[in-house]
Amino acid sequence: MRTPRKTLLAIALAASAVGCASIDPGPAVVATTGILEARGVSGVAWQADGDESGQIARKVEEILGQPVGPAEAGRLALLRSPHLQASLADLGVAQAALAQATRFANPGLSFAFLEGSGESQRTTGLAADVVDWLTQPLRRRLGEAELEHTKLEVAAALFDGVAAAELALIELQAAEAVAAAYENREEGAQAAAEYARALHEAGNLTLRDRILVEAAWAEARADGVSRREETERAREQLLRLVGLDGGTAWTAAPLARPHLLPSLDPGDLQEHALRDRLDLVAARWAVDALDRVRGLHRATRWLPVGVEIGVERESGGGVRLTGPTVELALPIFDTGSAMQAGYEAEIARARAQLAGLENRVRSEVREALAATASATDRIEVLENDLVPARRRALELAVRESYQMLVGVFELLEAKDQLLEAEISLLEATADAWRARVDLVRALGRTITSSAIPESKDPKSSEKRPEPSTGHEEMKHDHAS
Amino acid sequence: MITRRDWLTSAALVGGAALAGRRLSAQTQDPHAGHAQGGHSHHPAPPAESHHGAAGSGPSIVRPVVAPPSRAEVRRMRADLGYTPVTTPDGITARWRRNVAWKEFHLVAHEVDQTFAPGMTVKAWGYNGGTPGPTIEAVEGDSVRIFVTNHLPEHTTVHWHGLFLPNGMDGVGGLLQPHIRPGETYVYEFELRQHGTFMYHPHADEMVQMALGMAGFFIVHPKRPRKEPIDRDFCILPHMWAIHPGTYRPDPMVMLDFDLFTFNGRAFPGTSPLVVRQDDRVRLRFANVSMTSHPIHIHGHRFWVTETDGGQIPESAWIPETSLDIVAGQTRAVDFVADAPGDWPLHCHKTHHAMNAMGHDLPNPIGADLEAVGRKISGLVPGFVEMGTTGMAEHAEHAGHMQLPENTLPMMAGQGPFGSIEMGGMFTVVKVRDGIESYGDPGWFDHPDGTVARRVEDAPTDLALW
Repeated sequence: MRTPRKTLLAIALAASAVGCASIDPGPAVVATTGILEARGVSGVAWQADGDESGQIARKVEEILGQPVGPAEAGRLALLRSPHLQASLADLGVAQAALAQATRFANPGLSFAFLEGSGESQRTTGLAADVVDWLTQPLRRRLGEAELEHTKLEVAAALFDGVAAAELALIELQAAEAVAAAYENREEGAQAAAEYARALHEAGNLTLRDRILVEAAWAEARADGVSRREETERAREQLLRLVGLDGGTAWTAAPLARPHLLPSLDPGDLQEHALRDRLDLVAARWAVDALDRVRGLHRATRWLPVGVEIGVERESGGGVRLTGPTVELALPIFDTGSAMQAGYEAEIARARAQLAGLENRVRSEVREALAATASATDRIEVLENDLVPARRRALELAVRESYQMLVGVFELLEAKDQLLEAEISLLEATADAWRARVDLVRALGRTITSSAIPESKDPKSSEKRPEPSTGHEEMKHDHAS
Repeated sequence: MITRRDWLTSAALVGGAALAGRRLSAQTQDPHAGHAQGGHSHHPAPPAESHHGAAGSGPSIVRPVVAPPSRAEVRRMRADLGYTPVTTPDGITARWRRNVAWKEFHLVAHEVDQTFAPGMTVKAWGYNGGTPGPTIEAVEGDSVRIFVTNHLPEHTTVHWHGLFLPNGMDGVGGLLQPHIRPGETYVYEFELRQHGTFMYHPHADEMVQMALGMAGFFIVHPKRPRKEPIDRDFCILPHMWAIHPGTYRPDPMVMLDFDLFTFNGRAFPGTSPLVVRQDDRVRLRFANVSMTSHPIHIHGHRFWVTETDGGQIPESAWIPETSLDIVAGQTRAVDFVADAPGDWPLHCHKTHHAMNAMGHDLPNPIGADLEAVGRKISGLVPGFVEMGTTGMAEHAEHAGHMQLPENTLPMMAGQGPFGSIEMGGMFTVVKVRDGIESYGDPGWFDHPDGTVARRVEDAPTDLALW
């Protein structure tokens, strides 16, 4: 006969043999960083210690010391964004959940004292949940799967956060450039208004014509105010995304042309995206996890709902009974088939969603490529044809003004048309950047000026992201 | 030295086809010698080979530079011909040949490159190498046979404006004759039963064809001229064009807003002067196929209106004028004695007609204080120069060093002995000189002392005030 002491010891030994998961999220953070680096994003800063060393602050200061471009905005987000830090904290939550899932339920100790008719009975019990023991490895696997899923979700959030910061910076660059061009338009409209006023005061222009020109200036001023407001909006949007406050002094780099992409095969890129997109990987994990849950349920549905292994000692009346207690749920009414059917349906739904997502990914790659090509073509037309044509037209208008063939208003209109063409070029340039960000999001990885880098082990990331894949060559393209 | 024959020959049509294998003088009559040459077919045929090529390719007809005649040559020609031959400044007189009873002429309609003035060449439509076409000159009673070859890209006809002739020779396409299609040659034959100053021009798609320059003079000298001989007989065709600066081809769509104005296809300062000897009896003939009237004004003289397109006016009805309005579709001739030596302008008195291209719909800067805003605009529009606040004379000053649009003329131009003449378009100078023997350009007038307006230091202080 085993004493309760011995029994408890056995439970403890069994638990230690199975092993409990750690509560340290560090490895999960490293693994998530690896997932991102495999997709060209590096520089994740985990502020678990609250940047006590000031290292992050120094990096931020260094970045803000130079004009900030899209790549720098992405780095700032990784360093400073509270949203991204919150996402990283999800790893700790998931790690803790895993640790919790692998813990055994504590054994229960019970006492009972019954008395009546001159007799008394004392019952002492010590029990542990055997089902809990038996299902611990399964719980571990599910917990690990959940953690892996969380890593993917966190990596996806960080990847998207970087892209969002880059896009916000692009919007700021575009807004500042367009606002500057609108200031030039405003100056032209002001000059026309002053010219009209002088002509009217000299008796050469009707009041109505003067007012019309002045009204055009007022319109230009209103446009300028709107454009400046858009700049402020874009700036605040960026500040929110990267976690900077408004008091920090920094400037956005001027909007420049994005580097040209090499000739890319759309089919190859779609395959890349199917392999690299974290939402796809996560969706595959979801199907996998559901399958595991279903399997777990199937494996455990016949287990007793309560099997307690322990001892009970009754004393009184000279009777002493010891022995295990077992509670069995008789699967008469609920055989678990409904749950199984539910899991089957959920799996079917997840697979359909996965197929839909795969189709969407391919489509988004094609769409982003088309937008990239369109923006590139527009830039080419605007830069090579429209802007030079407007500039040439202005030069020729100046020549015509020497012969009194055109007047000042036509000259200023020609200048305004040049500015309008330059604004179109700025917008096309911004669109090229927007399309570039869309392409990065569609592909699920950064792209460089030379090529789309190959993942070291594309299948591994799809099946099971490893904590550290060490793809050092896939750094984020900060030169872009 | 230029001989009479040289001058007459050089004044004649020089056709690319005609130059191929034939000497002009061997086949054609010296147009002003007035005697016949035999050996020609009685059947109508163009004087030169009729293989000018397909329509649109056009003949390469380059007009010669006509040297001005000497006074003696003009007198000899008058003696030979019985009339003073007409001079078409910057133009030519049509060659003709005698073919039995006929005086034969040949007009070739084609696209021409016409220089309005140095720096501006126009793709016009004309006859025999230019616009206006060659001046046809004949004598009352002559029977004329005129070949018309069409090398335009569309059909044409020739209407003999003001002449009495058989109805079927009047040249109205569709109404009176089939159109002369590209590549075709038609012949017109009629007897000249009147004398005076007439025109020829198309009567087929005439709005386009005249807007592009198709017209010419048809001068019929009287069989019995007046007693007082004409010493210098000029014909001038004022015309107006829409040739937008920077373009080369007249725009026939324009109805009112014309921007170039010419005498005989030249715009000042591209017009040649009319050189006469003091006390010459001078005739000026005008013909107008443009869409508005041109009041032609002469300085320093009065002229007598002696002819309308209906014929000579009896001397008792002559009226003296210094400006004569030539309305659309009219011809007029005026005579005057050039008794005042000097350089006397002759121009259309519609002031915009004596200007070259300029815009007509732009803000008026005169009198406005534009200095500050002008600087601002210069900053916005590189190269901008604020002009015109004190008037437009500075445009003439700047014309030389400012880069204008291509193929146009400064709105005001011409340099005289005292500075910028600041004119353009329908403007020329009648140069009257004492005792000259050649009608070549004598240069600027040498004013006798005390006959030029001068600057004085002390203006009257009270005369302009009441």
